[in-house]
Amino acid sequence: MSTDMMVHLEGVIKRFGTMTALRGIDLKLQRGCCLGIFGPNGAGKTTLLKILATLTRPSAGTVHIAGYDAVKEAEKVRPLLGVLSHRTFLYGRLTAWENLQFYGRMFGIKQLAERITEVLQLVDLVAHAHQLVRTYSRGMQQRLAIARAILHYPTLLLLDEPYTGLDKHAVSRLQELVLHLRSVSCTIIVSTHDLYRGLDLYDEIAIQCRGKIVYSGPSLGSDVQGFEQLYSAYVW
Amino acid sequence: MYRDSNSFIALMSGSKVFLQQVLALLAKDLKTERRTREIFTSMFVFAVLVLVVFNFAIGADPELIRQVASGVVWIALLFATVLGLQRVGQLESEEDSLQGVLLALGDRSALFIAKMIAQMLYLMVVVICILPLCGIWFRINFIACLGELCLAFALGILGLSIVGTLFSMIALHTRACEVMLPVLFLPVSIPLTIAAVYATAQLIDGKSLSDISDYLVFMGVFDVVFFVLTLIVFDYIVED
Repeated sequence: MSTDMMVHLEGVIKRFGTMTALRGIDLKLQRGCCLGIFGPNGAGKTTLLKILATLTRPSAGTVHIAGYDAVKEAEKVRPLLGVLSHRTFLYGRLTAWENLQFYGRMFGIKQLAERITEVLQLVDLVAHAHQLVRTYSRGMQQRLAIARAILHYPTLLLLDEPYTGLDKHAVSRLQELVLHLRSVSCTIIVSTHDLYRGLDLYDEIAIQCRGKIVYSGPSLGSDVQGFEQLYSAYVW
Repeated sequence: MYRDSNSFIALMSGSKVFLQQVLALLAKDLKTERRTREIFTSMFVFAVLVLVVFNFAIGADPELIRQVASGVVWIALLFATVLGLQRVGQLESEEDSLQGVLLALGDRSALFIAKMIAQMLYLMVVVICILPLCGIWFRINFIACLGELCLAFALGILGLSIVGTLFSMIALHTRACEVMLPVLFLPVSIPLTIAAVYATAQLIDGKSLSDISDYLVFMGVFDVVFFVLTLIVFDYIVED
């Protein structure tokens, strides 16, 4: 496998009992690329991202991340991943600083205090660092979740419906952050059903429907209308 | 002996990371608990309520009290464990924090070890708080056999913490988490609880450690078997 290949999925199937969530996903993504996966609710986008995040195993097929088998060598894959989900993975009874300190210690980050300050500055939450997370608004929690996801310098960032709960300001902050991470060769996969936000961020796009990738190709840039037509042609 | 020094270094650095992760998880749980006291309060209040109810139910017969006291204490601990674990589960699933932890762990058994130690500490504090109350209400002198009782309680609490942590993680992945935990946990922990009740009762009756060695050995074997079993299956349990 090419060393430039960050993500390589072959024939990935995922079944939950009698229900098949993924029906043979093939996907290749080069290092430093930004992929947008679009699809309606129930298309299997979250399941796909959970498999990439090593949170669930595929029923069949192979998943390689940075050359490692994501099933057999999951412990080597996990430190490479940053995951942002619609749930924040944060502890409401701890402050923002304590949450990041906890995750930083889990990843064994050196000079943790400096890194925490750095990521809090990136998401504009320095002033609220010592406030309990449960007192945060939804948008602030989601911004802190972004800080948590990038705290350990991940090389593959998985964003599952990242715009959920974010206001306009936070969305532009997130998009700036994605651009910054792309510039430092971080590979990014965004799964969303929002066809209108951040289209120009992606290098490649894929459309997922009923557990299959029905279209994949280069990004159409900011051509929302063109993308809408393309999406309608594949999603019914 | 490790012939290959590289594999020894890898093992040692792996152990260091594992230990760091266990300590980080434990520190996080204890910090949250110190701030909220939600888990300890619910466990302690429930255990005291059980003692109060049994105190009235048994009446004033000193012989009967002596016979059932150890059973009452262990019933209180058993159900307090369920209550504590349910609260731990709720805290971990509030924002899917458990998934975040799993993403940060190389060896997921670090999570099991940390949760088990935290549960043991909560139970130990509950025991330290309820034993004097139990001594006063049931007029039993626990101090006379305190050293031996510590051993029996340590083995019992360890077993409850291991089995409890195992089943709380299984229950977290089911829809009816609150119902599933007691349904899974109570039947499996009954043999351990029976041994602990008999061991405690005989110590209260003035027997020595050698008299209760069978119970202690049984509890020790129970703890080791479930500890090893949990380490083997834990990675599969915590997956979706």
